[in-house]
Amino acid sequence: MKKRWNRFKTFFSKPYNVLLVLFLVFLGFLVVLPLISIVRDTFIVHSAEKSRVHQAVGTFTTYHWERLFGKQFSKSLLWDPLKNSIVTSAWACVVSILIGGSFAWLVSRSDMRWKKLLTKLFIFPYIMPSWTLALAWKNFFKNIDITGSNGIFYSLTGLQVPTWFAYGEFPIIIVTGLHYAPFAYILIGGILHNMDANLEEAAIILKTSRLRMFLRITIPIVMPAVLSTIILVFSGAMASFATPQFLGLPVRYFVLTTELYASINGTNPGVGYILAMIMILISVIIMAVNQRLIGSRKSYATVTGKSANISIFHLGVWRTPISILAFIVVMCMSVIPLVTFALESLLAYTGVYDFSNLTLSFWIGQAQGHDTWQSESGILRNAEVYRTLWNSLKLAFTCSLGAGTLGFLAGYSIVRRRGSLLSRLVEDLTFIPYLIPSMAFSAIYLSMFATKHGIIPSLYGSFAILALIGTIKYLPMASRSGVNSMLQLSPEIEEAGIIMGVPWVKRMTRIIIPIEKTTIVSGYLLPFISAMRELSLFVILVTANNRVLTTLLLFYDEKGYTQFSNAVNLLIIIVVLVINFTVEKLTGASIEKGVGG
Amino acid sequence: MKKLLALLLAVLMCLSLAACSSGNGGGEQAPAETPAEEPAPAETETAAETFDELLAAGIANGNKLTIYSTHSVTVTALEAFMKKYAPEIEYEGTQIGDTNQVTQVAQEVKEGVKGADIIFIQDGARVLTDLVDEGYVYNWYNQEIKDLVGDDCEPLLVWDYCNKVVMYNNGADNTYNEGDITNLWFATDPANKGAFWMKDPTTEGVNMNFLVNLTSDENAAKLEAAYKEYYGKDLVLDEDCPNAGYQFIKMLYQNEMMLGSSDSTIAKDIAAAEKPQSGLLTLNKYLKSRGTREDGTTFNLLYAKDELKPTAGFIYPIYGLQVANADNPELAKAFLIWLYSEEGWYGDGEMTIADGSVYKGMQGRYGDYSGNTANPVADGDMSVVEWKKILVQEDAVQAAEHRADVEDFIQLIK
Repeated sequence: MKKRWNRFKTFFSKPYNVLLVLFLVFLGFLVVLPLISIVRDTFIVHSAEKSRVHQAVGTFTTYHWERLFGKQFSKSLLWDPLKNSIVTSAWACVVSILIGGSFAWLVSRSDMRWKKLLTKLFIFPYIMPSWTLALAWKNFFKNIDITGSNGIFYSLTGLQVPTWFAYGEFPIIIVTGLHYAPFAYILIGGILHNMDANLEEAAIILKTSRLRMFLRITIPIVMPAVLSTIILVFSGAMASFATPQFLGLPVRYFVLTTELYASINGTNPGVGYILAMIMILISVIIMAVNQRLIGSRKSYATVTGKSANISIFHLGVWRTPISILAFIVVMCMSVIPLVTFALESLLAYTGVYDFSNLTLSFWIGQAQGHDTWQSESGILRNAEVYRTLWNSLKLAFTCSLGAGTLGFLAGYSIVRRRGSLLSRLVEDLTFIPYLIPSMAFSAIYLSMFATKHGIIPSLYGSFAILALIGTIKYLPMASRSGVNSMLQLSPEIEEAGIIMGVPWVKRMTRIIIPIEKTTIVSGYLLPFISAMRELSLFVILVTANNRVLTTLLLFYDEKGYTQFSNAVNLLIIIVVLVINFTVEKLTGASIEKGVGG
Repeated sequence: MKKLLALLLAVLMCLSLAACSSGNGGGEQAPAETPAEEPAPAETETAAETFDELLAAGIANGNKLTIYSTHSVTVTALEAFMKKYAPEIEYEGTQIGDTNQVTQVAQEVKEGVKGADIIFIQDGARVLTDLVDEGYVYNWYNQEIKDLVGDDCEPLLVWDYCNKVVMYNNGADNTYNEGDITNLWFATDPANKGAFWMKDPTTEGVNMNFLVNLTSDENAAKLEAAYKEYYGKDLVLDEDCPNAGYQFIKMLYQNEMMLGSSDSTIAKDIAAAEKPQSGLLTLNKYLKSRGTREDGTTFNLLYAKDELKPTAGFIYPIYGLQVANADNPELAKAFLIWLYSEEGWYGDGEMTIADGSVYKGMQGRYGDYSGNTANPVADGDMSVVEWKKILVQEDAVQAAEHRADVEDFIQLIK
């Protein structure tokens, strides 16, 4: 008995063990319970389903499963959207790896011009909300065959793009691929940058051709990063909602998320919950395949030997043309969308791209009355915009503080007990929220926290529920960052402190945090930016009192206040960019470090 | 990862068993005895209280008045009302779409969370099944309202009617001219493939209700006759179409009907288009959709009237309903009564709203018609009585009964 007690005492005398146990309880409640809740929701009758199921609300039913997998509806409800989701996600991986990977190689291993500027601009699409590129695409390539009017591209060139280029599968693939290209750049670039040049030098001495070197050395080295990118992009693309909704709906191209949205908002939410489970299952399978392939799991960042001397490939006569091409691609991805938002917000009448049609009214004008498009004051004199901006900042700050701190502590405790069952379990639990589609996650939180649970009061309609879900949803990013940074830190450093009798808090604040400062701040930055531009996670949890900027944008968009929605979109992007670059300037932290560790 | 997979599978299995054995889920609390088939709600008793009594009681109550509304004017109306009649009472008005409102109100009442006192909401089918049948909101009116509104007090009290009519573009050489569209089946004509728009019915309930209402025996018969008129032959139903309503929906979707996410955006796009485009849109967009192209030519929208057979579109109510756990039900009811007055509908030229500007209510708005038909409509618009003659009127009860059938049907053909 005493032996057991001593073992217990020893176990809990280690702060990282205490942390791991706390994480297990905390995540069990906030991550596992939602999974349980989602399963339960697939077997009960919801109020919207009464007239469909012909049973009382809350009673047990297998109706949803039978409907989804039955002969009649499975093709249109499940298999077609599933096929579309897989096709768009897989091709989005290809696009992001081709563009992000090529760019990473050009930046790390070639003498391309304007690297500093281009790398700054290249990560814009990730900083911007995912749907902004979709909106920009729509603004730009609108097609007379579909909408009866043409977009900016036609106004500039007189060329009309075909329908498949403007709407449906192709633009969804390209836009999603571009949104995630910065991931590929950060992950593949990280490896290329740190790659040991001796390998290539050895090949050069052995007179190996450039192509062979690329195929036999570079590709195998970047392969783990490519696979990590595939997981991130595939999971992200599968969960993406706004892009397929904007670009797919007009031509009735449905993917799993848009089908899920229609089900949850329609008269069969039960089917929506099964679709959410299927999406989680697909993500888990992808993770498992990845683990099998690369042997080490979830390697967002690959810690490699650092080389003092990276060999640079000279582009020669191609230097200027390739630099210009890269410049054009980056401008199309990062700057032109911003220009289109600015332009659209300045148009007195949408669709007429003429100087005489420009106005600042939607920014600084007064409301003009109900029979005009400007039924509200311009966004810079609109109290609702300031209120929602403040809510967004408050929420992003809270989520960042929560996810960043928990992520760092999770990373610390996981790495210190690496190899133990407890550590593995907590690591898996911290990653699960990444696999749950945002919309399904918020639907579950809505049903979970609407009711009082033990000492936890009903959180419905409160700021707390938004902060909680944001913290948990962004925990995987922060904990990845935490794990990767702690892996790079030798335990001897902390052990020296232990031997000297330095208490844990002091060890953390005086030794570990100062060393890992930059990565820790990056771990805070990523959740902040994600929360600022998040829509689908908050849209059904936000109530009248705690609207945020993105839901205000959706509201304006649904009302058809195009100029307002473009102006708010621009406002979100500007706020995020200013904060990102301020933090980067002040602390040296960056999005790249947040993702790449 | 194996552990993660095992964990997920174990959870799935346990929960399946738990769900099977428990019978009654939990999160969604079942009302004591909810019948499987919902009959139309029983008629509400006419309340005895008057506006003056309710206003006095509401002020005495002193609690904050909160409203949720799908319509922006109710929010400014609340500001005007409170400023004039109950300046000492706190208030809050928020515009929320119908789907979110259904979710929010249901959750708030179920959990006893303070939310709205009164709601203004469209989509009668969902309101009936999700809110009224569950007891979260209830229908209320007094004699003053009954005298003004008449039959539209039941089954749910109509505050405002809105209409969605077939609108089409005009202005460029090859667009439509007034009265060009005379038969609704034009939207199914291959000549108009991909040129007819509608806000996605799966995301806006009133649109889905309209499609459901088209499948009623009465409307299906009218559609069948119109088919013969348009195509010059009898309608032969496909195997999967029980009547002409279903056949119309099927042909509409198969003719590549375009789905949008906002009536306003569709209206602007159609208006500016330089080839024939049309859509079923809220009439409120009519006055807004005018502009000038780069070459100086003007464009606008035209809308169908009685020349379009068998219907020019549909008309649907925005209901004013009391929330079960209201904090200040008296003031909510007083506000509702006031909304039917001419002052509530248009203002009196002196009442001001929160930002100090004069409250104009529905002045100048096409496509909004008071439940009190004595309130005049905007200049140039037709009265609700005239509109009702040429539009399909939302039948919330029929829509609630058959919505799932039509949604399933669309799921298979979309």
